[in-house]
Amino acid sequence: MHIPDGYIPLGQAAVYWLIAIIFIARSVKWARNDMNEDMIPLFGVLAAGMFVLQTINIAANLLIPVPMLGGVSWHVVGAALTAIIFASPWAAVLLMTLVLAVQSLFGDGGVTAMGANILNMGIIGGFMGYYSFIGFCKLSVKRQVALFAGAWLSMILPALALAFELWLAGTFPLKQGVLLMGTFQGVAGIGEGLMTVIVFGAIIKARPDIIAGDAHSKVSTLKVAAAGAVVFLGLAIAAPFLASSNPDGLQQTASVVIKNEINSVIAPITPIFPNYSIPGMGEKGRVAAIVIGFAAIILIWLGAARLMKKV
Amino acid sequence: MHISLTELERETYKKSPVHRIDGRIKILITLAIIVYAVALPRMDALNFLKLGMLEVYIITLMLLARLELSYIALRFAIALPVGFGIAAFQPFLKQPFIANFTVLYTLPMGFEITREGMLFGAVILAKFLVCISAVILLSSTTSMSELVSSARRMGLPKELALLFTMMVRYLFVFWNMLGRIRTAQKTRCFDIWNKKVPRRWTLEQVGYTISSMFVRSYEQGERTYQSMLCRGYSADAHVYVGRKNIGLSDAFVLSFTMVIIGAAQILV
Repeated sequence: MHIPDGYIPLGQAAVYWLIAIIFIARSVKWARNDMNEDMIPLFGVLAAGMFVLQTINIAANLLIPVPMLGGVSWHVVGAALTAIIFASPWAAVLLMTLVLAVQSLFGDGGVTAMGANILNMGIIGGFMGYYSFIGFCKLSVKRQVALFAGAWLSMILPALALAFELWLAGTFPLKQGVLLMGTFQGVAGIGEGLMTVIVFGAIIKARPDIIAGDAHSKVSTLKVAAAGAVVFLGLAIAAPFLASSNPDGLQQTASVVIKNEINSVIAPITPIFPNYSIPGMGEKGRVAAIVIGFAAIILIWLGAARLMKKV
Repeated sequence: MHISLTELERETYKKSPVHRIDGRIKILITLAIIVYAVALPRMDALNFLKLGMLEVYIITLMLLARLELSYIALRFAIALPVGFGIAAFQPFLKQPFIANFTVLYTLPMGFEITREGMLFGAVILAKFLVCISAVILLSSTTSMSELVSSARRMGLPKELALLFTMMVRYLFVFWNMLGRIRTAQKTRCFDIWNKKVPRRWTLEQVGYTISSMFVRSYEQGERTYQSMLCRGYSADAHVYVGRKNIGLSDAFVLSFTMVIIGAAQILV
């Protein structure tokens, strides 16, 4: 999962670094001010522990009993776990940054690519892991299930982001990348999820005071919804590049079976964005159409919610 | 996945001309080499000569630093598979930024090996090799505490400096702590590959190890923080870093490296 140097062109690496620096600055401020006291020395020590516990190997065939996986092992990342324990995704950003920086000295992940690695594992992993955990908790799912789902998403979403970044860099095609990284991290995510459940359960027994228990219920639904919207928007923007140019199954069937009727029925209705795109703008138009459509759906939602409140 | 911290530290405490170079200079050299290597055009056969020059220079420095050969080989052996992963796919892919492909071999199932793909894959691998060599040189000749203090002298914000100082201070403590846990588990015949125990039980044991490491490091953090408070720590506190002047030989090494990079760019 760690991108090495040379995979991403310098310009793009700089952009990821810039995003990472903004988040790192905010996370340092969080550790200093938003916790009850100045937690910076404590987080420094904890980062050392996080680095060391990432060297604990877990045999892959504990998850999937396939003999082929004889010597394969993986380790926990812990982005979702730390975000959930400290009831803040900033904890994950801070700890993952420190761990990744030291890991790059060991050759795990590049120096120019570190920005992208922090973005994937720290920011996307931490934020998405945390807010999906909160989201599941709000749906009053059992805590263990919510933990598992949060941790799994904190592995699979960075993998998708990674595939997208490598595609932007011209290093790996998007579809194969999503399939390859998605499968790999999807399986590793099951392990991460199981480990998160076990570790969280053990910590809450040993030191219940570490875990900011009631902070979870205070997170506003709006924040969770915003995190969800970011994910869906991200996936939606990636979708046109992933989608095939051939008509999908339903369209295909419809055009074969009711070719004439469909034209006479549908033709009078002119869609705003035919073929999910704005004519004359190419792929950009497709992305724009999706963003506009997405915004429209949210506006309609909000409008409907308002109306229902009044009634 | 990792080389052990103790092996790394053993190499950094050796005495050699390379070890004596100021940490700031070594950081600058490493960054210059990495940025130069990454910035090279992605489709150019001349890259190999340029990167080859840099690699020879780095390996010369490694030999001057009297790093153990088996240690260097081990570090390369650990790092290389990572870089090899995606580079190995390149000959079979159709890179979006290349207009025309020359097909060298056609394989069954529609796979084609192209000359451009092979070139691009080789360039990625060469860049990766030079970057990883530079990182190995830096991390094996500079101790982590010196890296942090050098970064501090170069203007790392004081909060981050404190975070890294604390982290580096306790890395070895926790590394040994994990070592003790592992020894204790080994004496009780615990093995993650053991198939004779239920898988769920093994997973739980690993999970308990992880949570034990987490809680112990958190508690160490609490103790350290409280003892720092007792000694007058507050949010305005600075980590003291003594002044250190850059000597003539340090300046020479820096300019010599720049000359090497310049030569690679101009001559080739």
